[in-house]
Amino acid sequence: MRYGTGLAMSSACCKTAVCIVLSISCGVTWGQSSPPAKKTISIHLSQPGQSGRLRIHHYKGSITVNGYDGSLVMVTAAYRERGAGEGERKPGPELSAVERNNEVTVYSDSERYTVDLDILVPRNMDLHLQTYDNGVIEVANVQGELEINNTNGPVTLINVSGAAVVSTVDGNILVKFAGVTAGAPMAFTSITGDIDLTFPEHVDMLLKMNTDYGDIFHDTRLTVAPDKSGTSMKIGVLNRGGTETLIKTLNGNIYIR
Amino acid sequence: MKRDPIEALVMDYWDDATPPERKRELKQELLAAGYTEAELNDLKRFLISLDDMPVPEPGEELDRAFYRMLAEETAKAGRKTARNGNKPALFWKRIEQQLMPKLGYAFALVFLGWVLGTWVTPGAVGGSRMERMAAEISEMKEMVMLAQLQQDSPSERLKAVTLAEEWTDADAKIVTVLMRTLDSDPNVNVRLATVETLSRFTDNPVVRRGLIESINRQQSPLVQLALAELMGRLQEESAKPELNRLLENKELNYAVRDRVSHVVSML
Amino acid sequence: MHSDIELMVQVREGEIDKLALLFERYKKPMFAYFYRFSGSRETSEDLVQTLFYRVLKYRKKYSGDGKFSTWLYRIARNLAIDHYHRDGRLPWDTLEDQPADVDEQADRLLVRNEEMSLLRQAMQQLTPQEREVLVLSRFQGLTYKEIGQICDCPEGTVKARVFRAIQSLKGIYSILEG
Repeated sequence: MRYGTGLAMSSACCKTAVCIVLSISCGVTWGQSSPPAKKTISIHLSQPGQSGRLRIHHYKGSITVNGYDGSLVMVTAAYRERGAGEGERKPGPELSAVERNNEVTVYSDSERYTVDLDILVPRNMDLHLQTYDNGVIEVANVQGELEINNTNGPVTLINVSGAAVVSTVDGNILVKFAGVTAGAPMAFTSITGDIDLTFPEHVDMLLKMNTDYGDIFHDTRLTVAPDKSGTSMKIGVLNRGGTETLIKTLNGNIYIR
Repeated sequence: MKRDPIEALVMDYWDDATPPERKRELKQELLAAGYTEAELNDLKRFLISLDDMPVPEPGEELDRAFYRMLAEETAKAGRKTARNGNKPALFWKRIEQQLMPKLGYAFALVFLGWVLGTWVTPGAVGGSRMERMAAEISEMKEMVMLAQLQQDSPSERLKAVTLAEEWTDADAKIVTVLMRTLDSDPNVNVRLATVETLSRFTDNPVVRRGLIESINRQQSPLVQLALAELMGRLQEESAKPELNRLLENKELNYAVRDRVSHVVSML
Repeated sequence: MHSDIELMVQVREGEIDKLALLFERYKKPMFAYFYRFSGSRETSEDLVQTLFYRVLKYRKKYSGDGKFSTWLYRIARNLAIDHYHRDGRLPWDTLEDQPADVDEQADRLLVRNEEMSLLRQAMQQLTPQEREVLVLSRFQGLTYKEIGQICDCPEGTVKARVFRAIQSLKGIYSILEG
């Protein structure tokens, strides 16, 4: 039961502490029958209490991340029901993680099978999450820089603070900010999805918005005017204005709350 | 009425720490000097009401500026005393590792440019001083932008790309860097913002050609769409072959296909 | 937890990064100090930044005697005076940004809010000297003795100035109130 051996070799020469997480499995069911087997690993940060970073390049399946009051990163992976055309698979998903200087990278076999990841992180964490198919990305209660891409599904960020750069092709984007980092530009873009953003009351922002086939809905806090420089953008100002945030969708609506 | 020497006594009179018997003495002196009790009480109430005046908290820009300064000074002092378990130390360490070498390099280059500039064109010194300064400033901005584009954080890279938006014209180096960002930045939104920025420099034929050539290099439907729409806005007929090639791509997103076909039909 | 003096001595001896701890301890009071003067957030942030730059620059001159905060306020005061001389006008002449978050607290009582706004205006019309002693004694909570050390004048003079400042302020306030 060893995972990520190759990674151990490549990084062993680094001076900084590299921690290869061998899976510490909790409740792994190796039996052949349902329910689908789950696997959980926990990762210690080398500088607990400092802000960290979680990086996941996922292919098929969902990623759910929740901030909690602990200091470990806990990752649970589960195979989804076997899809048509998927071959015989292992009893449980492959799951490994590498930690280096508070940056955690999680690997799984989501390229071949649909794997759902359920993750707990310390609240102070930058996230770089990406998935392509068959899944949603959901994040709650995290503070940091959030770089999120879900090609064919929605992105939902609830009670997050910091700066977010989010993109989907076919999914809706829903974000409820508890706070935003002043001076950090953000961007939310989609092709067919709606973009629904809720900002705290006193945030100063300049929103550059564009939807070709949808509408822009907003409350009275926001004043919207066409961009003077001749693009098809609409400019929205929240309070005193400030750092630019790009909001663009082709077919979807834009909601600013 | 000579009040001046006595004014200082009022503060003692109001001071809660002053013993009662001393207070009584002070009161006598003050009344003798022409103050009334009502006047003094009034002023004291007013003074206390001042405590309710709110003060905001300093913003994050202050932290940033301070830690940047501290990193520079520490680098200057040539000491490396990063300590673990202490946020500010970690923060400057990070800045020092990521940004300082680049900024140092940037400053060195600017200085070199300045030295060369004065040396090569001694005759033009007086009149062109302002121009030279403007050039230095724009060069500094370029360096900052280049350093920012190397950052891990997509937000920082967005900042770099939008910074370039403010320039009235971009030199060849900046155009090259923006083109490279457009083709290879790992984040879709950074590439998208780069299209926006480059759209300000479309008077430059190199930029136009670069944008057209980039159409079929893009994998992201969002960037494909943005480029196609820009071509439509510019009425750029020479983009037609590349846009048609994009339409031949079987994997093209259906919504983007719709929009691109529309653009091609309008050219 | 190290005392201010210990930290500043370490900074003086070359552990420059220790300044970060002093910055974290003093950035808010020093910001408040400059803000009471200037009524401008931006100016105040600039001045705090410059203040700590000067602390670094003059660190070798730190003797380690007396309170660190007194030394810091002396530099802050000189900074404000320099700023005044350079600009040829008070840095705190402008009455711009009245921060939304602060106003919100005051918003609960509209009347209170208006009073505060008038007070702020009145503050701006005091002479720098009056404002200085008032801010230091009333808002920053310094003793008259400390203020005397900062301004290089006897304690009695400080007290008299504070009283005069209050009288002026009350007068200006009454006029503004109409």
